[in-house]
Amino acid sequence: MALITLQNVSKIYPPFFKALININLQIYKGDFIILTGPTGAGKTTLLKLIYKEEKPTSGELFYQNIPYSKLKPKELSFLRQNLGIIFQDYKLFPELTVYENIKISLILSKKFFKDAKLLIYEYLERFNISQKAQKKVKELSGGEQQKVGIIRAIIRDPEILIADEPTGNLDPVSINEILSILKDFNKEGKTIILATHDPIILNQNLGKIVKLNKGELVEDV
Amino acid sequence: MFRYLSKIELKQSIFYYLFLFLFFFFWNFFSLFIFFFYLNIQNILQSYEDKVPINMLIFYENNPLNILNLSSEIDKNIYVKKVIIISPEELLEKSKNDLPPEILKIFSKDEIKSQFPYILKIYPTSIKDYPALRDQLNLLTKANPNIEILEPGFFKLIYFAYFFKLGFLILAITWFLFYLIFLYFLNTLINSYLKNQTQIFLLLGGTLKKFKFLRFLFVGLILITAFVYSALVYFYISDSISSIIPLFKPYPNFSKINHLLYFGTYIFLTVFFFPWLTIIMSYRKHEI
Ligand SMILES: Nc1ncnc2c1ncn2[C@@H]1O[C@H](COP(=O)(O)OP(=O)(O)OP(=O)(O)O)[C@@H](O)[C@H]1O
Ligand SMILES: [Mg+2]
Repeated sequence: MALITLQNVSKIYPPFFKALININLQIYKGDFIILTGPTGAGKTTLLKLIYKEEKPTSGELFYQNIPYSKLKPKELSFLRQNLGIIFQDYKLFPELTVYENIKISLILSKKFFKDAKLLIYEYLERFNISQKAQKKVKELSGGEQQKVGIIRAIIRDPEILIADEPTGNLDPVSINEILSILKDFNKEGKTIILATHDPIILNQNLGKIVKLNKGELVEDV
Repeated sequence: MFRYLSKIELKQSIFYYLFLFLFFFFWNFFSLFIFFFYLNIQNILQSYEDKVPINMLIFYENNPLNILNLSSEIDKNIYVKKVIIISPEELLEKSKNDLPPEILKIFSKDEIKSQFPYILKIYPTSIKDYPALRDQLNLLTKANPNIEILEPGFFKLIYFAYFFKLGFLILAITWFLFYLIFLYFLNTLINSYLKNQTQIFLLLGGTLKKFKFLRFLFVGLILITAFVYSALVYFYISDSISSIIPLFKPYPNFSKINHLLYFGTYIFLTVFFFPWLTIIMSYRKHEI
């Protein structure tokens, strides 16, 4: 049984911009999906449908055979608690500190325990921003914010990791750090959906490449 | 968690909360005065309602049976609450002391009595029925020159007060609607400022429940404080008014259960129910 299924999914942004056209896709547990395609192809839109920031105009998505449209608010929040999402636009709380942003993610996924503080600092250290832990997010640079967004998603050890251009603003060292984390994740049997057009990542043969172009699925290698 | 959410909520919307405080201070102050005047006018009207009849004077009528018939005829009118008959004897009895003693010497009792009319004191069912009742009674005077109608002189004032009272009711309803709309508008405004952040919270697996609860808590606290302040000012001023003008009584009277009940309902509606309702309504479209 597929973990996530997209069935004849189309997304039209009002008034009539076709962002996704008739997408069929099945994502299984343990998959490493690499979503690629030129700018404006609809990668982010597809991910938004998966974590239900947007609703499809037609077609249906399923989480383990449960249609998204039938998910009750409580079930939906439970589904999201098991997701780790790295947003293309970071989506951090600008008025809260780096530490607080990460802590909220842990609390919401019910993984905040006694030693969580140590864990948070471990990750900050790993991405070389531990000295910014008590700074407000709005005072960080773009790359630093991206790192916080990454840590916030992976620290909750999610069943499914959704990463939208996680390397866009990062230096090569950090990119390698992320890639090694993603590989480890996948080895543990976790599902990863990664949207990128970074050739460094595409050349590494990490998983199944799904290519979008102008809202259509072109290749499903 | 609540600590962080409070930070998110307050950082952006502290000015709206200050504004809410000022608004509710004045709004509540004027509401209490609307009630104060409304209830006092109602009170004054009520004390007059049973005391100001239209007097019908019937001269040269010797047959009490005719008077009784006329009285019961008038009593059937829908605008009439009750009719009291005062016979010339009673009238004479009452006015004896006021008459100059010479008159009592010159004329016999019967002679004086024959000049005195029967008086029908006609009490209308309600103040607002005065004009209609008066017009109908005036028809009688046209048919019979021996009948005369006397209206209370200050009737116009009472009649005006009646409409004043109605006006106040409409004002009060509008005033409440204004408050509801204001609350909804303010909540929607704060929501739209916080929209991005509430959405992040939802995408991380949270629910809006905590946001709604926090908003309710903050709004409630602000409203309670503003309420206490403006109620204090109101009590101070309304007490002064009622001690200067004895016609006015302070409201609410805390020794009366029903006053407490109404006051409690008012507090419940303005400080708890309306805010809760508008918060729920304003968050309707924020679920994703
Ligand atoms: N909220 C929106 N309203 C209208 N159009 C939108 C909206 N979001 C995206 N689009 C349009 O849909 C198309 C696909 O957008 P999307 O963000 O999915 O592209 P993408 O593949 O993620 O691109 P990139 O590689 O630049 O991130 C774009 O042309 C964009 O203009
Ligand atoms: Mg994108």
